[in-house]
Amino acid sequence: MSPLSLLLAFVLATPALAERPPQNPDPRPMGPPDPHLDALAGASDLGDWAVSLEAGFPFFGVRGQVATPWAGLNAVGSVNSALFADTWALGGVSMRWVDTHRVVLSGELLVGGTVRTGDLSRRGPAAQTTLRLARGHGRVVPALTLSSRQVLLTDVQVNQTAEGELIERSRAVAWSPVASFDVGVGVCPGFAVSAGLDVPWFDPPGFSLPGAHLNLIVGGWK
Amino acid sequence: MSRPMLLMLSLSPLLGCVNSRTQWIEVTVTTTLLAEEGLSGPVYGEWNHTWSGEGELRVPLLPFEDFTAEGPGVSTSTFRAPLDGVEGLTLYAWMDLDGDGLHCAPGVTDEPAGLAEALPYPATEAEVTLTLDAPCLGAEALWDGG
Repeated sequence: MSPLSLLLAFVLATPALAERPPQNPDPRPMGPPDPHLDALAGASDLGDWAVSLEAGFPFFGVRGQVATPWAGLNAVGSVNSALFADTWALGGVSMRWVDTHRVVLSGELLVGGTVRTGDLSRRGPAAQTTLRLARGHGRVVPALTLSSRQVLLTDVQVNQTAEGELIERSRAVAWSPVASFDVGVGVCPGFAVSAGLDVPWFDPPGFSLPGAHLNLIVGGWK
Repeated sequence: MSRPMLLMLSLSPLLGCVNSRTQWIEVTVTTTLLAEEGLSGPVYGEWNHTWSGEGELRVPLLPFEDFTAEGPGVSTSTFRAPLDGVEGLTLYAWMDLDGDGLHCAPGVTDEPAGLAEALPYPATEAEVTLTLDAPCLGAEALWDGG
């Protein structure tokens, strides 16, 4: 083939190349939105959001996430309570670290506060780091969640002495990890349910009863 | 307003969150121990909250601090007592006549004991006069019901 015929062939082919549809910006071949996956995976696609309502033993709560245009981050808010006696109100960010057709692995960092009532009452500023591993595609989504919760406990002792009032402060960090396994099912576009088991560990090394929960999940529309 | 100041103000409700606040008072008590003429020996006992707890769990005479003295006379003790959930300061003491460290061990019936409340309370300085005149009685037996 002569150089001239090569040039002619390129010119004729260029319009065809230009008319190709643009590549799907979403790297996951998800098809329709999967709000259950997004909620269980911990982070939504750009333009998406998800809200989940949780009820069970011992945990009740609500969690919302919305994708932001910055660095793939999601803004996350969560209020979670164990039997309405140990309540955590947290906000922060989450992000997908691994996002393939098979799996989604996300990380989450939340800060806020916690209040526990009763004989073992405590309160203080708190933080939670979470890893979520979920199946990356499909109508049924299993997901494993590992959370580590810390609360900063500041105790103040006011001592009245003959010389006046002396104030002593002591600080300690209490750790409460929680592991959960969920299976979510998409009911219809924008609505899903999930059921899961919880293995909380309140104030290690003490023993805590395992639990279970149901989630109602909405969101995910673009 | 600068950004660091705005950030500190935003975080202050969280950083200022106190888990617990306990109030204590450092009390110096001047104790006068009286005993029958001719009796001498080390004196042992304990400081008690006169009342502690609330409601059905309210109980008298909860020991919280040891007391020792070389013998009858005046001595001074300084210790810390909580202000929340307790009332009053009561001293129970007994004299160890035979030096065995035990109050009225089997066969011993003459070691005197006494109970008295320190006043004023709560205050950083209080006084109590305790007469050791009740042989082999415990704090409960000496308690008159407050």
